[in-house]
Amino acid sequence: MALSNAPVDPHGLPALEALPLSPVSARFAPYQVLARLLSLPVLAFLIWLLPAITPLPLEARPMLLGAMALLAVVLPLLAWLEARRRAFGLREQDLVYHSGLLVQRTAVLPFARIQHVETASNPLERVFNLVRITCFTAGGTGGDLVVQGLEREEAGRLREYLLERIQALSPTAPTSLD
Amino acid sequence: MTEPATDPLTWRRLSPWALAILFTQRVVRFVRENIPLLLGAGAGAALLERIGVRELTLALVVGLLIAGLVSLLYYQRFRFRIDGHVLVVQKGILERTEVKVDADRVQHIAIEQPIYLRPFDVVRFSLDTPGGITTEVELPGIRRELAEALRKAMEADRDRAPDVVRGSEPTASAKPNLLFRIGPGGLTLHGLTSNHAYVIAVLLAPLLQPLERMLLRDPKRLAELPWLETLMASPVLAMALAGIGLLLVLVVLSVIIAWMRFFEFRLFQRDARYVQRSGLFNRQEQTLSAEKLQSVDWVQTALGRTFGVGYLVCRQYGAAPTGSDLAGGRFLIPGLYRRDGVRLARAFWPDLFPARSQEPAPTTASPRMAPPEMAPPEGPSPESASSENVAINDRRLVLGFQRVSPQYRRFMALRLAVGALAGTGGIVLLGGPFGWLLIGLVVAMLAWPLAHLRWLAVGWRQDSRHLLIRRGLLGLRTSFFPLENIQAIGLRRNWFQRRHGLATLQLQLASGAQALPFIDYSAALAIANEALYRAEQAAAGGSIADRPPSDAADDPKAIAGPGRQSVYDSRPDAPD
Repeated sequence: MALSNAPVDPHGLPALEALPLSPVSARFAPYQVLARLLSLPVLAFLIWLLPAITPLPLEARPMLLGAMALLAVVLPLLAWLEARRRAFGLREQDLVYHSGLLVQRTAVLPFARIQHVETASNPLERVFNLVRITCFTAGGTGGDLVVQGLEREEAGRLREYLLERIQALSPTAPTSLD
Repeated sequence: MTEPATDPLTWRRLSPWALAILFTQRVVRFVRENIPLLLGAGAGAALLERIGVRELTLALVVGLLIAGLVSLLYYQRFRFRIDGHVLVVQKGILERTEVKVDADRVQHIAIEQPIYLRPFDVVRFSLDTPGGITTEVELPGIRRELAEALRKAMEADRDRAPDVVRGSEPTASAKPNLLFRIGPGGLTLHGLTSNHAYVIAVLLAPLLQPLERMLLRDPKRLAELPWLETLMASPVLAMALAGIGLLLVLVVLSVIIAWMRFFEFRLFQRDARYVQRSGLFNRQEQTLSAEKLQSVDWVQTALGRTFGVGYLVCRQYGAAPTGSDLAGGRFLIPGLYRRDGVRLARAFWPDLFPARSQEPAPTTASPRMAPPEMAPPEGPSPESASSENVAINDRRLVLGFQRVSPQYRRFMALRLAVGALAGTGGIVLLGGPFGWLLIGLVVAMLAWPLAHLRWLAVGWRQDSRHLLIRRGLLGLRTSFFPLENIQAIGLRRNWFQRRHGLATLQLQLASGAQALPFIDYSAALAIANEALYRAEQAAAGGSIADRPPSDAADDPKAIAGPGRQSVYDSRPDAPD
């Protein structure tokens, strides 16, 4: 194994924290709110069933539905606020994605580690002209990065750029085995 | 490839003895999947009573015949060949599958010989490539010389890969260098201190209920054992004796398993590969490519820490992050004293644990990473630089670790207590027995001591380009890996961490994720920046400072679209 262990000056390293991030599309917030609202009826039905399948008294049903109504307000609101804070950034060598409101996450994926790139969109995303980009890494799903909230044209440009950078970094990238 | 024995381009079949392996595999899989279910629920006895012994035997015979027939069909349709540097396998009964594995992509080769195939010199040959969680290709039953020839052929082709330490000729340079050999003492200690006992206890647990039922159903049997009756008169003594007896049985079984699995364990280095051979009945040989090695774990169970022994687990691409240390293509080196652990770790990465006299100046972010409250509780070894480096290195796996913030302990205790009370409270609210709440209270009371133990165990240190992350509770697992091996980086901060200026750093390796919880935010950023720099430098072949080729996509506006803020920063020239 080739061994390289040149000393590194920590103060001269490119700083992740200095990277200005760009917000995702403004259409992502309403999409998130609608997606949350659409997921609520199933939960509401299960909560409504609760007194029937557990010893909870039927009188508790209004209270449960009240809690459900509160969730129906709070969850979309949180989703809206979270979506407005989502952002991404590109550097010469990596892709940065920031998400989360209560728990904030910043994921950084070096281009050299991307195995392949996939774009996808569900029907609701298509209504908002949004596309998801998933960057896959080697060795399991833990390192995969999903960039949500990009408009179709922008996602296309980003995808092309990622593919070009991957190709530039690994001209002899191994091809699929099968 | 220059191996005449493999006779390239001709399709080969498995040895007829492979039928024995295929048949045994099918039967063992069936037994493993179904017997615990039958025994555990007592359904086996009920089934026997309802259907009858004769019918059940008939069903078993039919089942075995079907297994034999399926194995025969599988054997007939299985063929393989070497095409250039690609191993091609065709298999499948209803669905034909063709698998091609390029020698360059192979990270791990295993040759295994079950005892019943030893007289016929037939082995099981398997290999893994990065990315697969399960074994990629298995040739279940070929002659040993063919397996050896295949291994050499795959390794010879793999030596064409860059960055591999090459010999002049793979077969000529393949003089193995013995790195470690286990003795009877080491084997026994490994058995005593490994966690096999718990695994056996879990496996035996389904048998306890039928045993108890059998004894209670026939009280006369109890009367035949007067000593048992005497014991039952004193339940405390009986329980204590039963507990000690069970523990002894488990420990003895654990030692036996260690002897069977790791008998005559030897670790060699051959070119840029590590080879291990072991096994009493089931002889195994595993080959690991050095360039595919991602991280190494030094594991000490609670008992292992008492005896000062542990084991190393070498992890490659694609290994599932959880699961047994022997799962997949993991490479386990058992029965090591700490000194051996350090020596072998340095065999994998020679610049790991540098001798103090040669240790480079702390050029990493450690000054920022070690505020006073996070300073290591145990300082560096008091010995001077001129004293024995071996002794200092020996202690490198325990000394100099920085603890994470004490807020971690607080957060863990709070989370455990609140989680236990909320969970058990919810169960009681939904009509569960009241005893659940008591369990919740007990867990809540134990939350602080548990969180304290956890906090004591979690630690980290940076050794030049390597990061060491320690975790555990009573036992300890220290993972170490070169920073350039990261696949991705994650920084996570909840409201509690943001309030205290902390973050959880997640380093994603191809062998699984490593998390460093509740460290100083600036320290997390410093590690992230350095890991990214090293990974990107390694990938770019040391030319990271070079600008990417000029093209349309290089214009930030072309990427970000009109009206969007530039998302590029101009990287300063990378320092050397």
